[in-house]
Order: sequence, then structure tokens, then C-alpha cells
Amino acid sequence: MNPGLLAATVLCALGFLGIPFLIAGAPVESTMGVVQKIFYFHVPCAWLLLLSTIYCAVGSVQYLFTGSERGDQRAVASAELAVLFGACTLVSGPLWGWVAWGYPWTWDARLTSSLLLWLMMVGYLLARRYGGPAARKLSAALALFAAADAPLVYVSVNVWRTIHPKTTVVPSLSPGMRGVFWTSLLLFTLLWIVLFTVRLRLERMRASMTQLELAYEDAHA
Amino acid sequence: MTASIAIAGAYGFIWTAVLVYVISVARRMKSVQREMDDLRRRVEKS
Repeated sequence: MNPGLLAATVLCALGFLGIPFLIAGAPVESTMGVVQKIFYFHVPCAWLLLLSTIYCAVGSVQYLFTGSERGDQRAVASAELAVLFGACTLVSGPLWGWVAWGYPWTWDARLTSSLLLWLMMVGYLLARRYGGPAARKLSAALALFAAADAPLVYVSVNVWRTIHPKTTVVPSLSPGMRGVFWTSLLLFTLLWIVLFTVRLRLERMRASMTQLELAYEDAHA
Repeated sequence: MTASIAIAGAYGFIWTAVLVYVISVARRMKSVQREMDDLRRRVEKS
């Protein structure tokens, strides 16, 4: 294993062993109570859903317009992480809503646009797997639509009337909460980098395998 | 639902999902590595 990746993995593991204690020690929010603590991992997951989607779209644009294999590899690695962290966002959010609102789901702008974004990224992976010979181009085009939805997800709470807390929550956190939040966000981002690097390595191994197979078939034709 | 069940459920889901994903990537890597080794052996034989 690459020493940088190993160090990041160890740091991640140590960080995630410690973060529950940090979260438990964070101040209890006065109106929502203890359930507000879901925020410390719900928001980082949502941030990683958006980051993965945008990164997938950047790789897809590179692949569509320049034929970059590396762009395509980055796109598929990001797409899987978008689905992973999107699922985490869509489970942790409703669990919070169940206690804070009294119901887990409502079809408001933030929740609906997030679900739509996640479904588009699931669509990306399905198109890639079952799309036939044009699968890579089809999924890359789908990634562009998903990227168009990502900024809408972010601004939805400020533009439309919605029950979901606004983006101003983060800057208005008390100092005791702010430190825990940014530590958690940093650790989740580090985890994303580790998972992305490993997943990208798998994609590159597959590309090498395909080249080896082609070379072998050519030699024996 | 109580707050503590919601927090434990959310945290538990996230870590289970990440763990399942890591296992899935590791299995896929092992499978590709096996195929590569197999192909290398065939190349060496021929």
C-alpha cells in the first residue's frame, strides 16, 4: 500500500474511533435536543454526495469531450461514492426528521432534489452496467444532468419555502459545536479520499487487465 | 422513535454501509488480481 494512503487510512480509523466521544461531548442544542447530533454526520455525508457528483461530472466531461480514460475512471469511482454517501444522507436525514418533525419524509424542495440526485447517480451506475456498447457515454451524459441538480440541492433551502434547516445553520453554530462539526467534516472528507483512491485503483487494474487480454488475444490470433 | 435510537440508527447505518462498500471493493480487487495472475500464467506458458 502507498505510504500516503496508509497514513490517511490510519488517521481515518483513529479519527472515527474518537469522533463519537467528541459528538457525545458537544453541547446539546436547546430547541431540538440530543437528536441534533445526527447533524455531525448527516451534513458531511450530504457534502460528500455533492462533491462526488460534481467530481463525477468533471471526469465525465473529460471523457465525453477528450476521450480521457482517466476521466472516465475518476467518474465511475466518484459515482459509486455518490451512491454510498447519498444513501447515508437519505437514511440519516429522515431518522432526524422522525424525531424533530414527527415524520421522516415530506416532498419539499431539499428532500426531493436530494432524492432525485441520488436516483440519477444510481441511474449512472445502472446505465454503465446494462447500457450495452454505449454504456460509458450514456452514463457520462447522465452525470451532467446530475451535476445540474447538485447546486439546486444546495440552494433549495434558501430559494424555496422548505421545512429543512437552511444553509445558514453552519455559520451560526456555537463555538463548542463548530469544532466538532468541522472535525467530523474533515474526517469524512479524508475517508472519501481514501475510498476514492482505492476505488480508482480497482478501475485502473481493470483497464490494465483489459489491455493484457487484448494483447494476449492479438498474439494468439 | 427516541433521539438515541435515531442517532444510533443513523450512525450504525453509515458505518455498515461504508464497511459493506469496503468489503465489496476488496472482493472486486481480489477477483481482478486473480484474473491478471491467471492471464500472466497463460502468457508465460505460451
